[in-house]
Amino acid sequence: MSTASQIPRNSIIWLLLAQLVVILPHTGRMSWWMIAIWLLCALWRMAMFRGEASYPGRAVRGVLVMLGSIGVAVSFGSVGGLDFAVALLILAFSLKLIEVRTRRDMFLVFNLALFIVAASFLFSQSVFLALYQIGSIVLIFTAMVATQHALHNRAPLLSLRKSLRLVAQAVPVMLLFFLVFPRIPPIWSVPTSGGGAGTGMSDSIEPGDIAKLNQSSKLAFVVEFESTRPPSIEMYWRGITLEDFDGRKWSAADSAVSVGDRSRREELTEQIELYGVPLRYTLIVEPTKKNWLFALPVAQLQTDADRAGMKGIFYTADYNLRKRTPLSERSELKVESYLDYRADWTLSQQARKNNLRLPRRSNPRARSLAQQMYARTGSTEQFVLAMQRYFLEKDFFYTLEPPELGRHTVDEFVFDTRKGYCEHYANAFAFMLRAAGVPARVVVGYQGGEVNPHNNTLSVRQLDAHAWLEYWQAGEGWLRLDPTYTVAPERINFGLEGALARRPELGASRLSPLYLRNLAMIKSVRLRLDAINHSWQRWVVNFDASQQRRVFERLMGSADPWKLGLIVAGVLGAMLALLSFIILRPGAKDTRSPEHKLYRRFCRKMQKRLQLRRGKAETPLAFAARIAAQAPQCAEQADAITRQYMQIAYAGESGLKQFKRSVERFRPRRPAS
Amino acid sequence: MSGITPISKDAAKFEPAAAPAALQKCVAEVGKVLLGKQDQIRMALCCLLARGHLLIEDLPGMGKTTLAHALGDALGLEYRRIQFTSDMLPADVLGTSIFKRDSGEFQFVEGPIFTQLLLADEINRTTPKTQSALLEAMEEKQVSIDGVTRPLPEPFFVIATQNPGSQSGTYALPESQLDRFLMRIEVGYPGHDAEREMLRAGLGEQHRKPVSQQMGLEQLFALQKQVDIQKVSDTLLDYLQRLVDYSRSNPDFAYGLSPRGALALLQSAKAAALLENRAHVIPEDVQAVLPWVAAHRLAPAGGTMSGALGLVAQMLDSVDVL
Repeated sequence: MSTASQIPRNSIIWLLLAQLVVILPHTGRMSWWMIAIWLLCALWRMAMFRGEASYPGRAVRGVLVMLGSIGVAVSFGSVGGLDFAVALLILAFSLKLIEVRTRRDMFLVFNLALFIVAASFLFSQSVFLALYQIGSIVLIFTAMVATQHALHNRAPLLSLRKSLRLVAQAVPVMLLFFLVFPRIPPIWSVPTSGGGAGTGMSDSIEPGDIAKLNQSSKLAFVVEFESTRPPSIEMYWRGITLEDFDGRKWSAADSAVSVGDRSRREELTEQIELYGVPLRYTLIVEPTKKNWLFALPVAQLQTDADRAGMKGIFYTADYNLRKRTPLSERSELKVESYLDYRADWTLSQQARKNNLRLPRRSNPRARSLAQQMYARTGSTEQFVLAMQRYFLEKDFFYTLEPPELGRHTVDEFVFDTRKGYCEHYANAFAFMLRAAGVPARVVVGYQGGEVNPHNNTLSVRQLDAHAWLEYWQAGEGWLRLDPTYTVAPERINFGLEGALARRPELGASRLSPLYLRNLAMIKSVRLRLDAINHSWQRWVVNFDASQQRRVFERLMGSADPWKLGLIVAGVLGAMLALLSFIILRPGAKDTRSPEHKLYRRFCRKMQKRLQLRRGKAETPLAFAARIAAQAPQCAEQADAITRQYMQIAYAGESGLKQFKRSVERFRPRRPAS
Repeated sequence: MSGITPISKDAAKFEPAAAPAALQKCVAEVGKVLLGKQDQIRMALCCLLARGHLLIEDLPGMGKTTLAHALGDALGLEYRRIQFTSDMLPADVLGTSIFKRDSGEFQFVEGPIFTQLLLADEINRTTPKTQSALLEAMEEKQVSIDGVTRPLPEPFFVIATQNPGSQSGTYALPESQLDRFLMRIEVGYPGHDAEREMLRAGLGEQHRKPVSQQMGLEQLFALQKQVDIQKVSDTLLDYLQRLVDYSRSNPDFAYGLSPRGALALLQSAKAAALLENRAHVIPEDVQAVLPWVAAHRLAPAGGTMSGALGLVAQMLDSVDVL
């Protein structure tokens, strides 16, 4: 191998470091054995570095590639999918380590590294990852620079310095492109990663589902209110109404989505009256891979957001927001909600039937209790009050760890265990209302949220998931009823975490991470970091075509394409001009003696007129000799000027004036042809 | 080797060659026995004028000894030669005190180092202990034995020869010791014509032509003093410092030129200017001596490849003269 293609040793060390840093953010998605493979390759490479091992043979590499690929396929269960692709990429990246021989090979590895860095943003776009990956890029560039240094360069930090300078120089260009580069909607869709299931709402619940959900502190969405924030008790983030009950499970009726999808908000006013001033806010929704959106009832898109291309969103018959395609990326919605409303004051026969339907022979005890109570009270209003009173008096208990229930969930809950979580109460109330002949349905969504004092946003997490119900009263329409509030008002007033802090007996031993989250110091740091990340999401990640247009409109009045083009060309041109000026500035280094400047002038004249350029290492005398040989017509003058210069610059003699005159008078003649 | 300096020929054109007649004659006289090696002879003289010591590195039989011997004869210097071997002790070089039975006293017997021109032949054949005894004496210009310090004669000029380190049975001089030599030159194979002439005349150690003395001690001292007062302009010092800085900042160099190296470069350039019969130093002088002053003080980063001369060439090419 020629020394020209050999890889400098520093570069290998930097590469190993860069690989470690690049792979690290992906370790959560990788199997342990993949990390082992990388370690093996790294150790092997180190052994090669120290001359203790040689390159693996073709057979060894082949076996490693085969086993690795099969391992990845087995580990990820399927071929295809994002996780699988990234894992395969990382495997190749690791194995390449024991294969690189020449500088050219190294560049393949660097490209892979950059690609893996880019791939990490498919999984997270937080500001912390972004900062981390800037570090990764610096390291990759360092290894790249080191590849170009001398084979035995002993100054590894020199590469780092150069790489830092490179990245720093790229920052203004990056900012410019961030601002002006057209935001093209994705041409292909990224396959969804398999890890999405498990967290997030589903469109059916049975007892225990929400309690499970509540153990995750994963973010569901963030809210920015334009004016004052409503009190916690008003914040019921409504998402899905569940009408079908099979005796155990409540699920969304297909009809709710397919019938009466309305994509224009005018149609919303058919069976609904909205009062007062709407509450305006922005929702920043985490990707759920689901269609539903959560908002305060009754919500509609703000008009300008409507125009700004929030397409594919429609209103369901039960006044929820839906997206036609699953939410695969974080999105921003500008929403306004009328908290004061009257909906569906008349109920169609079909709807009435749907919301009264109960499985026969299900929960007989609760059914008869409800019918007795209704008979005693006589009106829906009084019946609901009586139910609430019943649940208060009978010593019902709110707990995160309710006992398991058998076939007749409502019966067992109401008469035996009396320990339940929000879905137990919603389940029991809805059932009993229906049993008594009052149309009712279960609603799932989120309740409350955590206020971040640093940026005044509200974070709603999975642990805020909640279930309540709505019943229908003639003339009033659908009314919200939250039995949890009756039993455990602190859950609603202070949120789940607040309730746990006040009443540890709620059974939070399994939720100890939740306690940790709320230790004063950790909480304040966490909220601060959340605020930073939120601003990042808001202003950087979500900087889309419409925001871009807004920025330009603010800067220049309008955002015509030609203006954008002009800005890009202008700024790039200005940067290039600045660079060229710095590099090519005439007489850039001439801060020295006058005779030096004069001699340079002589050289410039020679170059301009006769294309004779003094080489860097060429002394004045040698230059004069060359002039004599190549342009004899100037030999005499050039010789005289050189002689004068030498006398002044080296012998320390005077005669600057004369020298100046000679240089000024000097006109290199072209050869007489 | 492509001649020591092609550029100095231009300099010679420019300033008519009218170096002090004695110096020119010296070169010519030594040139009679070492054919076709004008440049090496000039560098050796240059080294002597700058009060430095000279290291000649080449394969055996290239005329190292001939050059040293002829130079001593031409300058009329007292000449001695030490052939270094691996069993030599410092006392064999410096001298030793011997007990005289008749007077009952110790008497110091001077070693071969007490001379004006010392040829230290094959210095890398002897042990580091003996090497360092010689090199210390070179640096101090005096010898201390049994608590008595004895000055060495004036002038004191050492021409050491060494075989390239890759030859077997040698102790390579460490970098710190190499630094004691102002210059390191190579003699190199003779040109075709020069070799033919040598073969025809049957020149060799055995039948060396007599070299006649061209210069007295007084004259030599005067020339050495003249070197010290050569005119050096700021423009030239700028160039010299740019060269030194380049060697320190470029990653291809394992380490840069030391301040002592910079001084050596300047002193040699001054002597080279005197050889050209010029009272001021010009860039050509620096370029002429740079390879021989700098190469043995530099090493490429990594140190495994020999190529210090390549580094110097890179330095010359990359650093702007003005």
